[in-house]
Amino acid sequence: MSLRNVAGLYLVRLRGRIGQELLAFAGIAVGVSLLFAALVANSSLTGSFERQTEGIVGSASYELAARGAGTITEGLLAQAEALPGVSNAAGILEAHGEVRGPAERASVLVLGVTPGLGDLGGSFTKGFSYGFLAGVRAVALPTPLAESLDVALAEPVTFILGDRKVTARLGAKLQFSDIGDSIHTPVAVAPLRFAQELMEKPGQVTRIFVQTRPGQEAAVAAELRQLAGDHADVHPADFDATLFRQAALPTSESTAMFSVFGAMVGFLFAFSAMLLTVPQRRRLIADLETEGYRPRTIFKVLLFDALALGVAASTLGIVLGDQVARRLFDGAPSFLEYAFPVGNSRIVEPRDVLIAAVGGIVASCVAVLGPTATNVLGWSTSDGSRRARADGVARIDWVRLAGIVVLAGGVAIVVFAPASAALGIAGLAALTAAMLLVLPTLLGFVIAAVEALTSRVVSVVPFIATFDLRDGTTRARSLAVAATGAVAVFGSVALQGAHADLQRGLDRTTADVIAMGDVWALPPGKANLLVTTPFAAPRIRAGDGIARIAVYRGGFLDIGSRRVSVFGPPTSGPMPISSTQVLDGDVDVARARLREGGWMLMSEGVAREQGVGVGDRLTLPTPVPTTLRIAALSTNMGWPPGAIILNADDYERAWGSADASALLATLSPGTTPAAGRRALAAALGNDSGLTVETAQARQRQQERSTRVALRRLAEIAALVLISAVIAMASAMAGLIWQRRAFLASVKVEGYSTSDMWKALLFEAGILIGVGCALGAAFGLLGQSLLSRALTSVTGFPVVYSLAAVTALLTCLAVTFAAVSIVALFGQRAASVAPESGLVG
Amino acid sequence: MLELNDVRKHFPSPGGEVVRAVDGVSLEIARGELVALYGPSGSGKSTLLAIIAALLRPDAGRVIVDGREITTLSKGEASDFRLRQIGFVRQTPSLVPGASALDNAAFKLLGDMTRRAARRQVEPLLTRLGLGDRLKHRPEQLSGGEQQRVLIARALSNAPAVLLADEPTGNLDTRRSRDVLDLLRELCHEQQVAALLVTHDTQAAAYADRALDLRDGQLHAYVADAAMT
Repeated sequence: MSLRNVAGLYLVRLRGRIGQELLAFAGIAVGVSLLFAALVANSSLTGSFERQTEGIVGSASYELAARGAGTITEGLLAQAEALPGVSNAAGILEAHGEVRGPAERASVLVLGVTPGLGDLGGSFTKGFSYGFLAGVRAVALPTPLAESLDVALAEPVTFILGDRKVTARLGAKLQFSDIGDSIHTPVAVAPLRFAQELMEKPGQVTRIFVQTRPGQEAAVAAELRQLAGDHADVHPADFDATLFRQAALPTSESTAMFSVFGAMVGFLFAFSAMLLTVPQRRRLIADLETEGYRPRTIFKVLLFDALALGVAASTLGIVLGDQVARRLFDGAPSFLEYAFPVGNSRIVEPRDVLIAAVGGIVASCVAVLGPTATNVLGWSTSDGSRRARADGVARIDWVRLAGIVVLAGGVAIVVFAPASAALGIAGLAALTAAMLLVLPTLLGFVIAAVEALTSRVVSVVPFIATFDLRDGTTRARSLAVAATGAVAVFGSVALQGAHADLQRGLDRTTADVIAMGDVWALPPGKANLLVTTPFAAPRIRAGDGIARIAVYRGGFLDIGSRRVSVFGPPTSGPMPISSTQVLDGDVDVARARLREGGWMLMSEGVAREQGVGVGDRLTLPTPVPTTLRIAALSTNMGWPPGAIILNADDYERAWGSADASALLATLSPGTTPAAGRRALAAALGNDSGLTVETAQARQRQQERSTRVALRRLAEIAALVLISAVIAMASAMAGLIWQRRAFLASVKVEGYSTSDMWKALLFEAGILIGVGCALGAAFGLLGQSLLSRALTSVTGFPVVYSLAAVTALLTCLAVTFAAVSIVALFGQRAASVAPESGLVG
Repeated sequence: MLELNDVRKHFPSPGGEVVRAVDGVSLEIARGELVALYGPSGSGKSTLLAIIAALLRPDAGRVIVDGREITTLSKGEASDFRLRQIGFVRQTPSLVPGASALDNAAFKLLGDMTRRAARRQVEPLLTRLGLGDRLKHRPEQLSGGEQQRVLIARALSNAPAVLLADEPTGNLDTRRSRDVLDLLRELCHEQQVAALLVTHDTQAAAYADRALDLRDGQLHAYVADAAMT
């Protein structure tokens, strides 16, 4: 049969099953859209930062970076430039701060650049008018940032840098053509000299980028290391991108994992819909066989069906996914802004399009060819059917046995296996497989139970509701509907449970840190939520309800491939560690040792990478390399790459600076937090750029921030559930619609529309309820697995609590929503005219 | 038991003409009487059955079943009437696919009694119909004749006033057709049910107490040759 004839046959047959085909089309489109949206979100997250880094460093090979966010001198830049193997070198000076315009304020990275940066070939300063800005002593802002601040050219903008307020004029609004992918990055660019003035760091830079002559890379690297000494580190020029990828890993992985659940729901949706057309396809196969067509031709006809559906649905899915990525997953999680100048460019890699499209087409092929494979291959002879029926009991036993074995494997992983990423994925896969294998048995038990319980009920409703669920010819369709709910609720409950555990863990960590002081004074800005911006600590004295003022120091330190968060609490107050944070070591001993000095608490992940344990010594790559012993190993304290806690005095020695990151006030008994805040603000004076906050206000702010940071997971969970509701309701509606002839024949017998409607709702309730309940139960096991993985694999602080209420509510909500939609279709179907039941 | 007085039902045709599906039909069927109704396709047989079963409301005339006028029943009352007063046997067995023969036969009783009680009630009837060893078989495990007998059991399970049979032997071979007709006659007489048997089967006249011919919506006395055309 020619391709043209195959296409013609397809179109003719399509008219007769357009409804079912549209359902399958929608299912695949939903699955592809969720998959594609997550892929784009992940590509955009890391890709936009990589492009941004590339835009700054251009073709530079190495960076010479000041240690621990400190500075190095311009003299070093001159020395680097003079090295024989170096063709170009440029320096930058960076400082996090806040920018304020007439309308808005925003966290910003102030960046001082040398003219040499443009010579490196990056797009960042391609159109940057260095000479003009240097001449007028002004800064440049990306146009979107300038517009949000509502500041016009030549107008002043205020920067809060540390505890100082400084003002500069806006000299240029940068366009995409000027700074490329950094257009959405909150950055203020100034000529180096002017930036040094604004930051009061004359002659200082934070990083030097070096472009080498061909073949000179190794020699230059060695010479740079010599120049760097103990003050700086030499890394590949795009090292920031490596650090960012590490920090963004949990976000990328969790997004990817739940996109897989979303895709599974979508593809089950499609599978359910395609099952509605199986009888029609089987008839077609029989007709073609009768007419003498060979299996190869029949396969070609069916493959055309699958490809037509798969290509069309994948195309729509990609378009929808693009919208989901734009509207829901746009922008990076805010916690990454604390350490990286993150933009929100949207990047669509060809690889993402390919994966999503292939996924949709494969799903379509499985849905079309799977249920009819035995017919195409000629295995469905009447003998075969009889044998299959005779073997039915054995097959059900085999499924039960497989379910029990896989379930046992999944539970064993949940309970006994050491936490690892691979075992975590294997555990989730085993639980999903076990759930789907257990489903037929559970459904059988529930139907038997319903029949037993309703055997004394005088109504036709339970009988009609259960007979179709028992019917072997429609069993696959029923199971597909229940499986859709099971997978969606499983994924959602596991995610929501782990999400809540993580939220509790982060809240507890935040509470521990914030408990260090009753009132905090620190540089403002969203990007300073981890309290990492240094400032020269003013000399103020306690009084007016303030018992004590202590200095807190904090910052970031690059260790290996991780940008680690460093906490330097004062020795006079409580140490920000609780037993839930400590994974190895004694919490009381650790607190005492931190206070004593010479000890640090380190995240398990960092320690593992450095090959050290409790009691070991490690020299930190701080501006003044400092050797400390490890008092205990902890979680990552909520910062994905990990954390270190050492006391504020050790921090001062290691950084060679007495700068503070926050002032912590302990209030005298009887002083209210509000009064304490006013007293500390008064002590600092009006000229101070520091913001003063009570511990309670900071706690609320941080909790809000972590909720926003975890928003994407909640959004994906909600999308998966909504998709599942639509999928189950559509599949059930399709199933019900096909049974109108039967409903009419039952009405001929004298049963009413109301009886039929109740029976349809009862049946939908059993099917969807069983699927969702099973998903909820398995979701609780999944929660345990995910929470353990979060603690042990990613190092997040997690406080585990069985999400039974969440599971119950999710199960009820999804069942109720799906059954409510089914109710509308059911009413229409049940209203079928009884006289149509006389036909035939 | 069943009385039709000058019943009319007309439909507009797509061409704008009026199709007189049932045109002034008057008929009486006594308790225990089996009437065979012949007629070519499109003669109005199915419309007449639908009117008697209160599935269609006639344009004119009266239909009285067991002394009760049924043309004025509401939809709910009509359902109730069919459930308790009418038994239906159709050409294509409309059995519930996943349910056993016992459950299928008991189907009509579930509005009035528990499933267990309904099964108890129909089991002797099924045994009488020769399905004693097929009680737990599902429709796909039964032959066409066996399925038809399950439907007869269902139709008679509620001791109806009227039994309506629409081509009950249409899909059966001669021997099985005779068996089914034999059973119908026997049970109608025994249970004192007024039965109307719509058929093309010329053998049916031999089993019926009376035979009628419906042509162009009007009843005529049955003439074997005419019915064959």
